[in-house]
Amino acid sequence: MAFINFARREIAFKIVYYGPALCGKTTNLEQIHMAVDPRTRGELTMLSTQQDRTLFFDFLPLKSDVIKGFISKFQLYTVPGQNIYNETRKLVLRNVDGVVFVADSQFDKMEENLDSLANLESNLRLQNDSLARLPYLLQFNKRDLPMVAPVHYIDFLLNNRETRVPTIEAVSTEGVGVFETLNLMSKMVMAHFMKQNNLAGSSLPDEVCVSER
Amino acid sequence: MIFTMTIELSLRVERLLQQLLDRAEARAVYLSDKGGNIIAQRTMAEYQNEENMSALAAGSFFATQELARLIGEGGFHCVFHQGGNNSVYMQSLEGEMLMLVVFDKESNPGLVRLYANETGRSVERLLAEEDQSNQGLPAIGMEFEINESAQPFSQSS
Repeated sequence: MAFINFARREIAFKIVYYGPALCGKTTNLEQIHMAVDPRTRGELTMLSTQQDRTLFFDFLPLKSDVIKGFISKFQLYTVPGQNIYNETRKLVLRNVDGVVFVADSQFDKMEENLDSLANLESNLRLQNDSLARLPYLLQFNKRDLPMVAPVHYIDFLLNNRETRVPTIEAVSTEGVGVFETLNLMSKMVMAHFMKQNNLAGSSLPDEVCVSER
Repeated sequence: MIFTMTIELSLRVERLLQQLLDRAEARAVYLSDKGGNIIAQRTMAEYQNEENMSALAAGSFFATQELARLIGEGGFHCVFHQGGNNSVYMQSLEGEMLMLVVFDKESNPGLVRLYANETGRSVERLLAEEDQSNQGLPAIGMEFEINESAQPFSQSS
């Protein structure tokens, strides 16, 4: 749920990075925090275990002047990927405006990717939401590893729906595809916001328009 | 769905928060939604990273709601974290809003709770008066223009 504060001239959007354990969600946020213009970011809050596994969530607030006359705030969250933390994932998904699904490209992780995507759909249903209504995209991460599945295969597994969503190949440890993902997701969320509220300029950016199957 | 805070509503809510700040002698009062967005605030002290504070408060508070469910409670109305010098008091409001009061050892936790309760009810009444669901953005005459020439975020050089 986007939030607009006219007194402060602010619009806030919530973007959640979702995906299986160790797929690179936290790494995405770390790379953004490291590389983005420092004037546009707040502190990166990470609630991790001693083994650097996300326990609760990671949080990174960003701001942009992309909507004229307003400060656009984008609040980036990750969810803990481990199965036992599903209650936390439900909590983080509340009021979400857009989802980046980070898939692990390794062949032996396909089942975990599918389980996590099913878990996302199930958790969204619990809050009367769905992937069909929510802006989301797929990031195929870890493309630098040796045993990765071909992109068209992952696309067939995860993107085989009525409406296909954009996909981005990434190597998040090196920052490859990280900003592309962030910028596209931000645009999709704004386009959705404009469209939902019948505001001018509600057409989707070119790169967001994907063919329907 | 969208939550809109008009200038008039913002001023009225902030007036209530200021009263709470003064009466409870607190350091800061924040009103946020369940996602951790700060809706209104009044502060005596400068806190860095208020958005992080609010996100953590919302996350931890709503995690306790699940804990309440597990012990057979409908939910906890308030949560109090006491520190050596600074403490926080969190109270849930109707519409899944959260009020966060930060105060130091000069304040009395009992009074903070009492005044926060009163302010919480007043804020609830005020927000209920506003028919958020019927207030579309075009209806209040706002237009938004996206700067399409620029990417929302760029990497620092």
